[in-house]
Amino acid sequence: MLKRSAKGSYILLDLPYEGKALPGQFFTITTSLGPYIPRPFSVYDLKDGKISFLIKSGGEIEKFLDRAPVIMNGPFGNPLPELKDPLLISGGVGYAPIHFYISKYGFGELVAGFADEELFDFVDIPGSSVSVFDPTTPIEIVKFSTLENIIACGPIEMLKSVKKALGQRSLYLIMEEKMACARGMCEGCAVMTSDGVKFVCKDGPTFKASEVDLEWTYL
Amino acid sequence: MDLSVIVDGVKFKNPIVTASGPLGFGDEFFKYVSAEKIGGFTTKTVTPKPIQGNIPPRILYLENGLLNSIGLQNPGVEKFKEIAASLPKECVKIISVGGERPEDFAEVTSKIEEFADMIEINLSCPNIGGKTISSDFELTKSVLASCREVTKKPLIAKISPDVDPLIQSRIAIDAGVKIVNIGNSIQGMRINLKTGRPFLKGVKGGLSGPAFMPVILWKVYQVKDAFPDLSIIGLGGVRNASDIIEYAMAGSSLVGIGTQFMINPSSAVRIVDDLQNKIDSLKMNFADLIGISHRGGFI
Repeated sequence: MLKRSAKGSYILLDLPYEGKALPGQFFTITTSLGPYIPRPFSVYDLKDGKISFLIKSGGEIEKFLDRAPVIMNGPFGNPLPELKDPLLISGGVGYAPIHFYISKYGFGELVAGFADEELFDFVDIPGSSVSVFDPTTPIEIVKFSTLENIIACGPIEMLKSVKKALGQRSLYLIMEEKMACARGMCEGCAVMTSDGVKFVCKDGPTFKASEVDLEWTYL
Repeated sequence: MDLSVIVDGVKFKNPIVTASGPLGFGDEFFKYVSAEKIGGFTTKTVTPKPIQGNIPPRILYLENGLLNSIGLQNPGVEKFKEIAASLPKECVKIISVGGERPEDFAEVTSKIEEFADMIEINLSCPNIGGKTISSDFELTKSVLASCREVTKKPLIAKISPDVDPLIQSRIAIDAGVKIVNIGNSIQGMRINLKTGRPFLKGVKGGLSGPAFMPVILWKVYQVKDAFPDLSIIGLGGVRNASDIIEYAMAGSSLVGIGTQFMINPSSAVRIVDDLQNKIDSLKMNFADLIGISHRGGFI
């Protein structure tokens, strides 16, 4: 089932699923008509025999979702660690794995950043959280938090800011990179770590901020 | 009917071989597919020293294909030797060797030949440095000669679709190589409309996927026409058993599959079973299909 946000900028894709998945893990999704390379999406929610994915509109997959049976594979990747009273930080659709984490383990504090109110109105946000909108960014709020355990997911520039401000604490980053196989075979989704090149699909998608080099990319 | 093929004295139970690269060294792939199901497995290219690979992004999604810029990431030949002993014995083991200079290729070839049933010489990686080895004919000759000198195992010259396939095949034949793999991914690029810069740091990458299949099929056809005794691995854009038969008809003895197995490794089982059904329906052995389009087709 496909649900679109008010202006159609975001999609929630619900699929029947009786299997398991943990927060931080992802699935690849395509349809019988395409796209040729299945796209990776973090789990947004999993309950009552239904799995949900939060998708930003405009990608190639969108034009097929209404027209053809969805093909889903997974779960892939490693689950997020279960932390005590974590500070959770998200940017845009990076809220997806954070949402699943909250539903499973709860949270200490949550700061969610949005480009506009459309996505904020579309997703479930706990009442006891802080949401900020452009041009305000989560970093302007989270720098006042004293929590030690932190998980962040969002655009690379946001992750860089979070690491700069809070990198001395126990900070985990959920990384995103274009991937093809999702199984650690093709070595497409490379990230540089203190232990050499690792892969988002197999070794991640969550990495300790202290171990990952966020500058090792070409944008 | 019989799917088996004999190429340069080596028997393949069916014509399906994996492409070098997208399936790494097989440890993940063989969790999904039994080695008993496929004809041959080709490793990722191994070089004398470890290679870190390219700065991301390494993948660009395209309609009907993808552009990759992995950059020959591999652990180097010494580390590879620890892995090589565990390559499955239930299919033909093809080890891909790479480097920059002829002596690099010779070094890797001599160190890995004991683990290989065949050795594929990667002359054509599209996304390291400036030029492919294939584009330098003298260097290609030297590389092939240096490998031929250090092993008696069957060699495969993996050639570039960016360079005349007939010249490359002639060079391979003259060097005593009896198999060509046509071929590597073809060079291409995309530009980021937001930044005005190429998406890939190395500007170009290698295009693979179904959009690419007619290009390679035509090259296979030309090479088979010019060199009927040369064995060909056709590689590019195969998604299903029909594509394999088409490659065979054009002249391929073996058919490589890369991107399809990368996005769906389990599909190998379906593809082999479908291929068996198709040749049963045709009432022909697979070997009889090889190059049939050069012989007037089904008459």
